[in-house]
Amino acid sequence: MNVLRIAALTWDETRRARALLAGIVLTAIFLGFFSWGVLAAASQFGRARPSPLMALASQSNIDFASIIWGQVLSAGLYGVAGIGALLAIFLGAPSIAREVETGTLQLLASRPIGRWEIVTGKWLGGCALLVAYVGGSGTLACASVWYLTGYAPGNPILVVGALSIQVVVLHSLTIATSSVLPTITAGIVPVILHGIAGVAGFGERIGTLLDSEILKTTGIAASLILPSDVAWQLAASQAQPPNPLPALGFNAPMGPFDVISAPSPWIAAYALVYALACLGFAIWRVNQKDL
Amino acid sequence: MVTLAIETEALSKSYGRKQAASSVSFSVASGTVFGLLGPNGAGKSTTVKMLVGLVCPSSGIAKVFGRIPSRADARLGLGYVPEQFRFPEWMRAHEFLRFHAELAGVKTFDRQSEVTRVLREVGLEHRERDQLRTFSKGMLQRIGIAQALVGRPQLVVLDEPTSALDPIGRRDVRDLIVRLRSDGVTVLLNSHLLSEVETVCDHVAIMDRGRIVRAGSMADVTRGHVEVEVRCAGLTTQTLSALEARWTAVRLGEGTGSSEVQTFTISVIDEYEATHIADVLLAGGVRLLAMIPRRRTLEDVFVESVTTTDGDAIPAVRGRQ
Repeated sequence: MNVLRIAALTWDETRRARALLAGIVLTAIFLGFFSWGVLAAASQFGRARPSPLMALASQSNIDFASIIWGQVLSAGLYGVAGIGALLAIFLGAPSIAREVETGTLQLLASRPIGRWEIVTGKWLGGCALLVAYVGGSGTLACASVWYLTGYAPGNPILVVGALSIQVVVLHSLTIATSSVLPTITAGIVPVILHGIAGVAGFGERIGTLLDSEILKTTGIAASLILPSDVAWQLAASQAQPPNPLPALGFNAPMGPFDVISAPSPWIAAYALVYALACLGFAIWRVNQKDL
Repeated sequence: MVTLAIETEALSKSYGRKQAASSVSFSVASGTVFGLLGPNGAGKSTTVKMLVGLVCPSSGIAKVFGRIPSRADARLGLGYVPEQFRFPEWMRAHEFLRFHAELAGVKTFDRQSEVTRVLREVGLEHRERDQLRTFSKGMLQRIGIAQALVGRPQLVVLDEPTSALDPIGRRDVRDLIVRLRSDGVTVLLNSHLLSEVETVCDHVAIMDRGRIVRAGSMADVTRGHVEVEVRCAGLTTQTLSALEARWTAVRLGEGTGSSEVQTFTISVIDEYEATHIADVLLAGGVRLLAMIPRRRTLEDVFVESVTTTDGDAIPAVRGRQ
């Protein structure tokens, strides 16, 4: 029960600090621009002169429009995932570190409440907010593309679920760093790790393209160290139609947001275990802490 | 049988090589007001934090109503005002107190009346709907005290509760502590304001560099030497020698303008012994003009107690001597 009280407090604090309002307004602006871009692309697509690539696709019974709109949707979701990742870190970094620095946590911890309840409540409140955010904005992005182009991903719930895993992983990692490091450092570390994971993910895709085992292994290792980018890859793979090029003998991506080989669904389970391990570490660390 | 609200035995805390609290042992009887004194860095706040479960002791035992305070259930009847406090300023006063009432286990239907009660206790009932960010420092300190009172705790730990209050606010807090004691609540008061402690505390412990250097009831701690100021005329060298032979601590005062009148102070064990000074003076033919006994204050005891090992007063105290 105390966990839910602390989670509700986290919601309330975010709402009253107008962070939620700012997030909703800016995301609405982003989705507005995105939809406008999709509309422009859709009208352009209908009028465009068939290119040699489109002709080749037509000869091979490939739904070229689905490939294009899958890439467009992925671009929108990439924006949602990027904003979600930053929010996950910004919400998590001060959650423990700042409260220790200001002494707010002392007041809570002197109450008849376990420290694990405080940490879990903050984690739960933050995760719920972030999942609501990426769930809402991801669904709106999918709905916008579907309404304007008629394209819908095979399973939108999996798309939103994978985006949610990414923010939960990053938020959990940041809560863990917040239990050890000062506020600013607690935010910097996950930002850099997420950046490294993203670059390693690109490296893995290039490795697949070039059939380079070193690049592929580096990408996989980075995914295990921080499975945030691989969660994004999972979302992107679900947002797009299957890549027809390998069947035609080309081991190449369909576009900048394509995932050549979709991550294993087990990576989702690994990411959730990873998030729980981060939470467990944060609880252990806060339990040890002298406030 | 006396119920102990707080019990510590050889309680110690070290941060690396720094010993913040060293073998601290004391007990606080239920329903009394206990003052914890000491200069900055004496280990008072560390000791208090160990008692409310915020700091884990390196060794020794701390118990609150017989339970280890690191356990959540041991803190059920505990109210605490930290020294360094900062509240979520986006909250309104009633929301903040209601939230703490929830954590303190106050039943849903009683929460509003509890919030109203504690706001009245600290004189902020008219600010119930205001955001904490609009409160002055003194008002925030009052809110801090109010949150410590929600749920009618059996033990209230106040760490420097009046540092931001004006004289009227300090008097209000003193009155509140007295009211709490009369309601059977135990109060642990950690304060630099010795006059405040002297007024309300039943027992005190003085800490210095992590150790308790003196402890006992207020009467016991301040009992002992009485300074007697004597004004007389016709004091001869022989009589002065007689006084010095019996009491070593004879300090001659400044002249009063008349060569006949002398003032001096003598430190004696108690007021009864002071009558012997009069006997010696009268036997020496000295005319006794005045004898003013002055009992030691807590400040005198504090200054005496808080000294370095080589006998020098520590800097914070030395400046006041």
